[in-house]
Amino acid sequence: MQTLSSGSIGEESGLRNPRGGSLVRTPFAAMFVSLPEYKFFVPPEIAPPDATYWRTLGISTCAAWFVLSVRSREPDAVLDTFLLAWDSDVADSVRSMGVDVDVEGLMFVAPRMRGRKRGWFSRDVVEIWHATDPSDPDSKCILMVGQDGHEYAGFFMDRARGFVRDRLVARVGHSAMGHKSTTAT
Amino acid sequence: MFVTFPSFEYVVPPALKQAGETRWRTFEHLGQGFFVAVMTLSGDPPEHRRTLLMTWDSDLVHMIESPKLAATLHSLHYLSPWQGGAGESLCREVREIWRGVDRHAGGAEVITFKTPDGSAFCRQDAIPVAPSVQQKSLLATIGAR
Repeated sequence: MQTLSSGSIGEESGLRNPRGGSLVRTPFAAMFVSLPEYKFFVPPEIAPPDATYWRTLGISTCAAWFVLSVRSREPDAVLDTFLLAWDSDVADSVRSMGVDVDVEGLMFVAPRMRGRKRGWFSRDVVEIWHATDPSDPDSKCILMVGQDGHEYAGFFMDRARGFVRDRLVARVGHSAMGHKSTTAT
Repeated sequence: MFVTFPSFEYVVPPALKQAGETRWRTFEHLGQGFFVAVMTLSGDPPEHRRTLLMTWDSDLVHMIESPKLAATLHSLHYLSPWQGGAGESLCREVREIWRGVDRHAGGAEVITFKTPDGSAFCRQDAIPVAPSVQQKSLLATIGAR
């Protein structure tokens, strides 16, 4: 449990909006929400220190969120799955994991913004990049390459067109630090 | 189940949140799968949609059968890469939810989820529907309203 270092969350978060320059995250950005009635009691004797267990969690807004599956290379290691609200936290977490952890899966779940049918759709991600939107070169962002070959970025994981890939963070299915040999383009 | 740790919290001023609510940037999921449900509650304006992530199928059914619920607009099921293998994660839409009984298990209640392509599974960990399961009633057609 907790392969993802909690201290790594957001340590270097760019917190940038690829469409609108620097962005200070507000309570209106995507986050997960717990309420007391969602709690599941686990005796402290069998729970990690400070852990709280939940049957249900809510999502605060209609922005994209991420499901990250990682596995330590230790013998008999199990898969750890994390849900993250911000793309910058995904990049920071993956980068901080080190060579002994594999990123086995990454998916974003984003709001379907077009058409009558509202809800969520998902895409498997194969690469994570730091990138720049040419229309705002001061604005750094996280770019994700889907298994479908398209690039996605932003709060809603819109199709990103014309973004410049600055630095590879990770390829999914490789060591979290596997980018060392393929840094930058 | 979902697990949070204090360092995962995003502190929001009390004035900007509901009483008792805590906001999180991340959390861990323990288990094979979970459900995503978009719903509206009775008394809410139609545009006020709530999205919930649920670890247990029984909680989703409980919510769907609650008089507080106005409509379930959309539902997804996420299945993680298998713990012991090299599988891939799977995220698929749920179109129907059925209540049935398993004749070979003493008539035990079974909840079945059906996807748009006609496949079906049980529970959050997506076990196959046993041939001995007999569907009794349609609990919900997701997105019907």
